[in-house]
Amino acid sequence: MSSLTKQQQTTVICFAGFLLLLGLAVAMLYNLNSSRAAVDRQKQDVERKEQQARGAKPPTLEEQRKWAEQEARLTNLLLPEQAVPQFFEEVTKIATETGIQRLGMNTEEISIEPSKAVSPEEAKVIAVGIRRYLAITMRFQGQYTDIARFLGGVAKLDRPIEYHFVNLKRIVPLIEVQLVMNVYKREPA
Amino acid sequence: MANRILGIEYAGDRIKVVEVGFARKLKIFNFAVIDNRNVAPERRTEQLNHTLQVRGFEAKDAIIATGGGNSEHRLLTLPPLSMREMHFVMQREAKKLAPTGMAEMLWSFDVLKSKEELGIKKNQILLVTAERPMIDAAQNLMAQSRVKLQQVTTIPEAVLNLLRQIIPWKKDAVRTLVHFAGTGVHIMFAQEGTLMLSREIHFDSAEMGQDEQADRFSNELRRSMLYFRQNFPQAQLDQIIFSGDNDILGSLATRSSEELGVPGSILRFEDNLDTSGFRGNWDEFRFHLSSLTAAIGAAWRKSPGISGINLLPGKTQAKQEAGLNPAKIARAACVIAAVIALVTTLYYFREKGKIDELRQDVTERAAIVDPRLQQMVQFETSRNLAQQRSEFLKRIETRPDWTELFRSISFIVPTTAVFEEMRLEGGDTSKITIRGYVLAPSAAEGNTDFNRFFSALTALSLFRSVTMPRPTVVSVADSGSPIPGKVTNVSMPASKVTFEVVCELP
Repeated sequence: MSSLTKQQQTTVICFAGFLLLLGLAVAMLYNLNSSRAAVDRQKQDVERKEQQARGAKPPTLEEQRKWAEQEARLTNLLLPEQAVPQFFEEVTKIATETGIQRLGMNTEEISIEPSKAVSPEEAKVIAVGIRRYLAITMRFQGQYTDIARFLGGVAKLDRPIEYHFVNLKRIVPLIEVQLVMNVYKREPA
Repeated sequence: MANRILGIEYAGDRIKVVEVGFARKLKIFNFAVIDNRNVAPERRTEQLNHTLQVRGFEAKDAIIATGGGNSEHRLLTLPPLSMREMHFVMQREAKKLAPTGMAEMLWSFDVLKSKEELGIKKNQILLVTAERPMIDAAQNLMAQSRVKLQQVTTIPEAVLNLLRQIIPWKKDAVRTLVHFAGTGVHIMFAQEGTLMLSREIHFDSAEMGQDEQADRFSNELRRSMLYFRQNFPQAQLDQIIFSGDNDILGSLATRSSEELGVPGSILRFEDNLDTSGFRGNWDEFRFHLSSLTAAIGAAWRKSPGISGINLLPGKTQAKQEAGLNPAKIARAACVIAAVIALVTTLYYFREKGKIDELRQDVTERAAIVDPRLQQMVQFETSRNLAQQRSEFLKRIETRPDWTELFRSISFIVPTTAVFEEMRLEGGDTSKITIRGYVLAPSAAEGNTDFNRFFSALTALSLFRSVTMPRPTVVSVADSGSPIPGKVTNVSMPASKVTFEVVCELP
């Protein structure tokens, strides 16, 4: 810089000033544009949310009451831990009454992990808040009518039972049955 | 009014003033010829001011064509140079041109025209040097005047400037211009409007008769022409034009053909002037027109102070700076950038304010809508949960009456049918698959029995649909196969219709 003449120094300073000021102007315009774009995006987002909020219907009191009732009903329906022995007694009693022979039973308690991949069936179950159920596998033999009465009798129990699989096979002169049913359990309090 | 300017020829004892303006032609407004011979030099300014006031001159700016001192004119031919280089070269040339002993010298130059010599572009530049007292005298003349002195040039440059505007120039022909100004006469040689040589000769005609004057001047002119021919042997002298304040102009013009062998004429240019704004005596003006040549030539400029020679101190530098130079461009660019930056800053803050206001509004709206939306999402989740719960309860609570279902099937099963397997699969849509066969004496009977069973099954309201995933298969049964419902000890061939039926539960 010191090797330049005064006029050259002035030129350099003016040119630097020109670049600086022009750069400043460009930077300000760029900043303005980006700010404007960001605010526009925010505005659009808020408007979309407002529209969603306007379109959404809050639940009526009737609806909320109905939901509470449903929840209570489901809770009551689910099998509490202490009622499990009683449930098995009821099943055994029906089997005795209907003349079922050679009844064999295997019970497995299954806990559904919400984080793990589950089957669509289990997904539906866990969606309503049920985490555990008993998978009961039964094998027995009997006459057609006895089997019908047994299946009907168990199904009519006031328990959360779902027949998952029933297989009747003819073994002359009787019918052999394999029954897999799910009994949904209440979460311990 | 605004573009009026005074053109002044200042030759010591005579001052000629014209007031002109620029329209399509040069517009003449006023003029004055002041004889200073009997006025003390220190009072000449006063006299000029008085005349300007009395004669109603209105112009605020003036250009003076001066003479009577040491001044030199030189035509230089140079390649194109930057203004910086040009300044340097001109300074050097001016030093060479200035007569020895000149106390203080001022110089100025004017780039006249470009031409090509042997394919190289060159500029013709008129360099003029003048001694400082000559310019000071011109400045002093206007010092106490309300008129601002814009430019000081020389009489030859002013005369030539006028001739450039009013007469056509033949290519390669050299014109001799003779201008009488006070006690001096300027002899100029010009080609295509470019001054090639200029001489100023002291010529006091006060105590001479007209013939003597003419003789003496003819000799001077002849010497000058010889001198010119020595310097420019290729040049062809074409015409001699006379102007100025001398009574022998006509005589000289007449004699020039005979004595010098070159035709002569007096400069006439009233046709080139616009007299619509002229106030005064036109005949008087016409009478003095020849002597006003330099004054008019000095004023006939579109950019007073910039175009042509300007010997005012500092003006040559200013003229240089009037051209493009990097410093000037950078300064202008810097100023423009500053203006742009200022405007942008103002715009920025105004728009920023609006954006901030909008952002605040958006933030406030978001603060209101976000919790509401979150609440809505919760409601929606609860609604979905309730829906799923409802479906689950429906699935659990509405179980088919299995006793009734099995009983109904038992009523419609033909006696010829055997169920090998009944299979119930739960899930979203529970279904019962029945596999078995009908054993009948003939295939037709077997099919009839199966069809009757299938139709009855379809008619049951317990099932949503009854389908056959595959067609029945008819085969011949083993001879030992018992036919249900028939007691026989004789083994006989029978047809076996194997079937599979899928009943979908509601």
